[in-house]
Amino acid sequence: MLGKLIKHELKATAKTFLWLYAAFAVIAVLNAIVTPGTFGIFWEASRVPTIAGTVPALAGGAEADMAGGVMRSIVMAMYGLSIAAMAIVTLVVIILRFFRNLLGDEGYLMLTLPVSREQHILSKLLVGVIWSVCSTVLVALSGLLVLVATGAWEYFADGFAEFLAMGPHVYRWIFMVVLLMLVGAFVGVLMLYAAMAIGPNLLKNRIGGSVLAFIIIYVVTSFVTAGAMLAVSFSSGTIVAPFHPFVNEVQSIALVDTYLWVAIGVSAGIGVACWFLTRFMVKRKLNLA
Amino acid sequence: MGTILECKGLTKTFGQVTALDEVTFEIEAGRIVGLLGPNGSGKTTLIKLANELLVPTAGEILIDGMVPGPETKKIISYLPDRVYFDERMKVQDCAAMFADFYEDFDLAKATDMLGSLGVQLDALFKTLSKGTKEKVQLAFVMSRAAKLYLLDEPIGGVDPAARDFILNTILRNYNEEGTVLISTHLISDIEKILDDVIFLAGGRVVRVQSVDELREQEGKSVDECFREVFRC
Repeated sequence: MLGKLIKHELKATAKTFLWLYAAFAVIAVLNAIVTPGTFGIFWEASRVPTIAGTVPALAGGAEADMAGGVMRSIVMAMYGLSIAAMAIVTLVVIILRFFRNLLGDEGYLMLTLPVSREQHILSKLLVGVIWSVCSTVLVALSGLLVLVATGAWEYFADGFAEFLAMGPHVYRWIFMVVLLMLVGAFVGVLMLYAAMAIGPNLLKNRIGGSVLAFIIIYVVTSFVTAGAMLAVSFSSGTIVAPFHPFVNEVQSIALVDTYLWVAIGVSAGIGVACWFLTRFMVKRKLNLA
Repeated sequence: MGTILECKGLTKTFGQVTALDEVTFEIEAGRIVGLLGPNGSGKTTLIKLANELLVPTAGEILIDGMVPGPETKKIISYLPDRVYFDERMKVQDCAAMFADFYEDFDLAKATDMLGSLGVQLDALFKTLSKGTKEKVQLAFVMSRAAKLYLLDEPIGGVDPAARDFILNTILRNYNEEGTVLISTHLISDIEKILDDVIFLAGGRVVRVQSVDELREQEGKSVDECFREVFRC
């Protein structure tokens, strides 16, 4: 049944995301094309004469430079906005799918299907995380594209190679950061779900209640996270002597490891708490309008 | 045939308000039952409890001997008092969903009913009128061979011609071994199809009886009894 729920959830959200991703890809590629550097055809026309010939108005002189500059600014602004759009649309879809489909009128259909509440929450969570990951990966890829287009790729690659050469612990850190981001994606979605599930019980206005619940959850989890990080700092002595250089490399690597593991652990703990909170509210306290 | 729905001391409160107050009754399988009462008497609350859309404050409600959950939802076909479709979905998407989740859903029957309603399968829900959406919803609900149909105000808010259509659809399509529970305050329209009646007033059961018995005892129609019981 979980598979069926996921299938229907993907189907219901795919259209929005495929359009979003297509539009983003077009803007990202356009941005890479107009970025000065390897492919900077509009203002370094002399380097690419054949393509420049097809855009004669931009092919030389101060006027062309200015026109190119204006166009470049517009495209870059569009690229910046499209990154924001990726984040906002992903967030809004994740919120609306839970709010409308389970807690709104559509809940009368969904919640009377022969499926457990856990499966409902899990299917929405997994699909939400899938789209979050896709959106993030696409934005990261578009960033790499800019690096390639500007010719900065070589410097980036060199720097990255140097970073990797620091030792085997670097690979572990990359794995841990990716894991932290993935856990973070789950936790972020679960915090939204928990807020929406609690919301109607806090205020009569469901949306107002959900916003209030989210603020409360956010503040509490921030304190928990900050507390855990401070605890690590205290126990390692960096707060006691914050400006002391680390005694040796082994200790500093161990400290970064600890920070990352604690961050992953605390995030996972918050996620589990939000899961049980959401589950309890949706199972026991639900009251569809 | 056994009991299909049973309430034992079923109570539901919302803050200070008691919507259902120690309700106890049984519904026998294979009957058409009217859940009758004025607005605010607890009809919808009772049906929502049967569908696990609410959780009892006290007491219990059992469907075929089971506490509401995924297993009871397999055998209940529920028509809520509102339209529940995702506006961006097509009619066929929803049909596919019913076919996917309900083993007792008869897709051919649903398609047939939609055809007679003149509804295109590839129509988006947002292009349909409210009345049509309600009929599509009824067609889906009645295309299941369910053990228990819970129909919440199926004829509320529609014109008399549509009422006839709805009642005929229910009568022509329900699984005859199944049980139908219809909640309404429009009694005269459905009186003729009911086997039993449950009168709810202020969250309490005031009468559970077969229609024949009621007529014999009171010498009146269900509608007349209702007006007498619920006189303002």
